[in-house]
Amino acid sequence: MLMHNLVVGLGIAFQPGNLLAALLGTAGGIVVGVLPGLSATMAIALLLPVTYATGPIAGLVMLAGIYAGAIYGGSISAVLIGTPGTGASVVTVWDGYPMTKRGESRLALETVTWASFFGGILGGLVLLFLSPPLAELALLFGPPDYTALVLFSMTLLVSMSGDEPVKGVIIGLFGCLIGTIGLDPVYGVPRFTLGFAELSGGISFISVLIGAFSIPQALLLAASALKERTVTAVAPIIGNERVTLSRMREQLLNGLRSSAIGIWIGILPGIGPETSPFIAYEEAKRFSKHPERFGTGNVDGLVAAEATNNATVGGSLIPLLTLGIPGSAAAAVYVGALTMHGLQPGPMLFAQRADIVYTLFIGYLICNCMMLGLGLGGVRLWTRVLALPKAIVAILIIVFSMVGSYAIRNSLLDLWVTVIAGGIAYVLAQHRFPLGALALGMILGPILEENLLRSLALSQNSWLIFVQHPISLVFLVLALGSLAWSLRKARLRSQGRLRVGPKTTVGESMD
Amino acid sequence: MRRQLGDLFVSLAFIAVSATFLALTFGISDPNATLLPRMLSWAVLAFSCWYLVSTLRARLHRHAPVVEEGVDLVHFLAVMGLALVYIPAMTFGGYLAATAVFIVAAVYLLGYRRFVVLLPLSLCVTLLIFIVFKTFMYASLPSSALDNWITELIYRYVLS
Repeated sequence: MLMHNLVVGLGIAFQPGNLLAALLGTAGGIVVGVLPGLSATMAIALLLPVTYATGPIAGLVMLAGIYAGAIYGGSISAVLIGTPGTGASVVTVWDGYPMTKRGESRLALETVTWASFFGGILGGLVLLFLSPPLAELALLFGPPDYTALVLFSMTLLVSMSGDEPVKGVIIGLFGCLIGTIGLDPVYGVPRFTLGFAELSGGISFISVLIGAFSIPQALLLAASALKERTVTAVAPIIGNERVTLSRMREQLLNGLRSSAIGIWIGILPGIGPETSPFIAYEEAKRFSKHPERFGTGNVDGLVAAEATNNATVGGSLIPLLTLGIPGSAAAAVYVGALTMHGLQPGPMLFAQRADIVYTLFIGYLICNCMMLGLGLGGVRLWTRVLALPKAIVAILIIVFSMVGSYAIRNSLLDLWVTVIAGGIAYVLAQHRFPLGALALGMILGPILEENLLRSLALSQNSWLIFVQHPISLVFLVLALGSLAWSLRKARLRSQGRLRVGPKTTVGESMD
Repeated sequence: MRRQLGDLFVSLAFIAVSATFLALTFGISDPNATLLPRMLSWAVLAFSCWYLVSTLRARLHRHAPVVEEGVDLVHFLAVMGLALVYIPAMTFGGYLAATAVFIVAAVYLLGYRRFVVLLPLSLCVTLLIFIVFKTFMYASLPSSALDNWITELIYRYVLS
């Protein structure tokens, strides 16, 4: 069955239209990633409406390319200007920029490109081979198990907000609350519609996401345009040293370990490619014979950071496709693309639309190969993006997000929702509320409600059903453990006793 | 001081919104339909109160809250105001005119003054988005006589 689906996926993925979508998505993702302040999540949200024109398969492949390309693109600016293009390349600056200052920018760029490719391909292969058995396992889940799984995922919201877990919890729960506007999913009773018929179907999840992830980043870019009137100085790509086969062999173990960490972090709901490089970097340092060289322009550190963040992308798609639970904020927005085309992520997607799922798997691997080619061949072109006037880019993002939001349903209400959500999201991001938790909350809220109500209907309103089912009991125990771990971590971090892990910045808040 | 007020404002806004949601649940007769919304409203309300108290405590201890750097309030309000005006402008004046004017005005507001670049760019981008959304996505963007005339030209000379 797997072989049959693989052949079908290969056949569809290599159709010219889908290859073009992969190329455009990956190139577009790199452009967005190179520009500091713009994130992969924003790029996916912004281009959601465009997938209407491309159809579901090409659209989903294009968005996967954007995700992979943006995470890689962030490392180019991290190496050449010392500013991470996305939250996922913060760690890349630590060793990439010192190498550039030493006159080894060519080696640094080639290293990040190969490491990103390696991590991306490994993540893609794990996605391809682990997802089908996981989806089969997920078919055994009943409503109480799903309820407990969503609760477990929600406890991970706590870990998204660094040393201020309460902010992640508030905004995540608020996202769930927004998700309850409209008819309830089981009994069809209207809630919070205030008499407006348009609200019976709920607030457009996609319009909120487009606004919440595009407008704040456009405003940040605007701030940067107002502050810096000069064009960013980009270091030249110089140096005689190149990535060789022997260098690759030396880094194989480091790359494998970092990719494995990335994939695992990606699978965990709520933790994305912004977190994994910190952990992989510390691990690479711990295993290194020369830990003192980390942070001074060390190839080991660069490989660890880049292999892991690209591996996380593939990992984050595993829970999304098999369980319908997104592994990162960008994956949460990806749910929007699936639902826009009438596809419900989860185990039934494998049973009903295996063609789409396997084309996406193969397409994702193709995107990573294209990323390697575009990275090695076009790096000088990508650095030119940094010369674009930020004020123009900022306003174009706002225009595109507004027109895109309107075009989905030709609804002016969606347009108002986008602008208002964007303004509110900007204020929240300024106060370090992790917007990724909002996206996860909006996805998880309706799933939680539907399964909670179904469970209670099955058990005739007995809450004991959640501890009587073994799978649900396991997830509840995991939820408690995860909550305790996240709270302890936050406490240690606020006391300054925990150094590993990202410090939330505004860019990361938006991821 | 302004940043501390901002934190207080955000926590109070969450309290007000969650309290409103909570109050609205009491107007719904079906207990199943209110189960999760009520639980969530209580939870958001409780955590927002905790956030308010911790903000006030930080204020007492004069700990400055960490707020990210971003666009200043005047520019934030100006860009958001323009975006809000853009929606009715698009409805009355059509997509093309409203978008071209919005791009020029907003970019100018952000300090970019090279009109030689800005004017042709705004026209090109406006037209490009128009063509993409109109012809590939079949979106019915708000239209005026100008939009209708250009749509006709596109269909007659470009897509025929």
